[in-house]
Amino acid sequence: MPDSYVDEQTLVECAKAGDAEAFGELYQHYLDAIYRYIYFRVEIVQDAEDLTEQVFLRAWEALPDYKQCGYPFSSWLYRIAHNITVDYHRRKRQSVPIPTIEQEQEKLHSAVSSSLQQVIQAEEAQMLAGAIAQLPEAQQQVIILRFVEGLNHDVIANILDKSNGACRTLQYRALTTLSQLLTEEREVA
Amino acid sequence: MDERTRLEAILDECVTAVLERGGNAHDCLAHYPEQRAVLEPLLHLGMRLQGMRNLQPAPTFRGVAAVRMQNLIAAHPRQPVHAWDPPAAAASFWPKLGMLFAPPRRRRAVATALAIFVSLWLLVGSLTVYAARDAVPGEMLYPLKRTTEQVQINLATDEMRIARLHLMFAGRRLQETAALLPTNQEAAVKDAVGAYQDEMDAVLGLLEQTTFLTSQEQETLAQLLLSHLDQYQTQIDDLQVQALPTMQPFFAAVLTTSRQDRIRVFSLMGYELPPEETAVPITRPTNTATPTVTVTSTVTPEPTPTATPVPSQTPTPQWQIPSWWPPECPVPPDWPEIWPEDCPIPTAWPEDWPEPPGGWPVPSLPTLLPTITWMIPSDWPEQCPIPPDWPPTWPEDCPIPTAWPSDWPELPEEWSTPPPPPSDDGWVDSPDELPPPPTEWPEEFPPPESWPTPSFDNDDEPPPWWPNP
Repeated sequence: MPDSYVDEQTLVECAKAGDAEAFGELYQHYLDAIYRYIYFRVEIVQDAEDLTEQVFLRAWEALPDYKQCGYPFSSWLYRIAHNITVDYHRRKRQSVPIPTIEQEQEKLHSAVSSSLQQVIQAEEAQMLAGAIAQLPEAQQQVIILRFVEGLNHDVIANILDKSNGACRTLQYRALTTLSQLLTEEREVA
Repeated sequence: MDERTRLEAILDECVTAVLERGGNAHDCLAHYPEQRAVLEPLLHLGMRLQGMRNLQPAPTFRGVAAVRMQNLIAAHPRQPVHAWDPPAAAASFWPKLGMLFAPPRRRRAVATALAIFVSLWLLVGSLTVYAARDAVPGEMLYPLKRTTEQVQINLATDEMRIARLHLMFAGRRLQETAALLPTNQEAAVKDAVGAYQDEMDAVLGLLEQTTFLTSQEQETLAQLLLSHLDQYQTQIDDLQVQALPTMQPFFAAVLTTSRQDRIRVFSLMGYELPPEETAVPITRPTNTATPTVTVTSTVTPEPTPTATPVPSQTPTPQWQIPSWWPPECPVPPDWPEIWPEDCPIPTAWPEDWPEPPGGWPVPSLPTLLPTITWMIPSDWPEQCPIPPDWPPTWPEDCPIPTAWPSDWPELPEEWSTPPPPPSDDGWVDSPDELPPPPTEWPEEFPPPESWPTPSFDNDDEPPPWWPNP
């Protein structure tokens, strides 16, 4: 488990050289983050799991072309995750049955232990994911990367290929719009 | 700093304090009582989102995915990547070759020193070029960066390669613009954007010159250009968000020009324009890098109820250069001492033009763009007149237009009813023009006695020439 950026660099170099164990360490470390990122962009647990797996498969295949550029390895993984998510949404425009809310809740509840707190968290996650999905793509990414994943603007700007200033503006717009969406949902409910 | 920018900055400050330094939202907002009402709900929402960091995939998925990943890696092992490793057979080759041509000791020393010097020179040059990669206008290495780019273009072997280079360099110009914006150097920002437009103009020029491109290459280039225009339009929109209020009209004009370029590509390739594209007259001047006619600011691509358009400080001109504007007539910012008589009069003067001479009032006439209601059909005979030509007598062998242009004289009375179109199917209306009856029964016809008796309208008897059954 990389405790520092230098350690991660070493793991990445070993993985590039074909070391499967090193890649496994990276996989274990970033699995949750990539899953969360994808889940909040696709809302469907099953699809989020499938796409998460695809991210790491693609990362393994493309690792020889990866170049260290002063940013964490996760920046590259998030970019892959973004591209896979975009492809997913493009394919989804064709007729794909959308799971019902009950099916999704059942999956979420079965995915975690039966503790009340985790059930509440699962439902909160579903509500937030539904609202985030209504934001424009760039705002979705900033919300997830900044607040859910806790990244700073330098890293987010590198992932999104935008400037720091644009990311700050997106942050403000995204929170404002998200706040309104959640308020409207509460009023409807 | 306008209010929205201030809110963004305060929000970011408090978000950073809470997320990255473990601070308290309440404490942060205590410094900004006026903005508290707006920002407090946003910060609370941010903290709700932060609570999602514990969300994890299902344990079952975690286990299954790990096994699948191991299987995949085992199925697709990757070869270790080493530094250059000469093959074993050549390992003994170089020393042997060296021994064959080993120079005397003195010459060997000079050759070694020369080799080291050349290597160092190449290394320093390469490092300098590499260091110049990130230079922005105003920095010492920036001219080297542009020179390097020009060398790449000069060395390119085909037009497609040149086009791709220009597109890549256009992206770099926008990155430089982004780096310059925080410095508030308006002139430098405008120059950088102008350089971006020069790159895009170069690609458009290549697309228009069909001599050097096959149709397939033209198609590929058009798609590439449209894709980059979309991408760069998003980046320009981001730049506009960050720009000072005084630069908003400038970026609005750049966005308009970008959309016009897109329409230009559609027009060149004969693509059907999407419904949302409006046919905007071409306003880009031919010889300047920066747009000289600013237009009304347009809508940003991310609508939000709270976003307020940045008010422009100066009124925007209403006059757009129409597509039919004669090339010999002046366009802003050129101002002739005397307005040419054979040039149309613009409908509104641009803001940066001086007032017209006192003895020459600005007319209140509508634009002189002729309101042609008559579309010239594609099969219009070449010898027939078209507006604004008006012959004294309408030629007899010319078809009648379906509607007269508004600047033509009235339709002559004798032409009020257009003649019937010539019929070419051999049928005539008047029975007087029937062909004479045949005197002999055509051989190829069946004998009349085998014909069924026709029914004759309004007649009890067949015509006299009808053979007796």
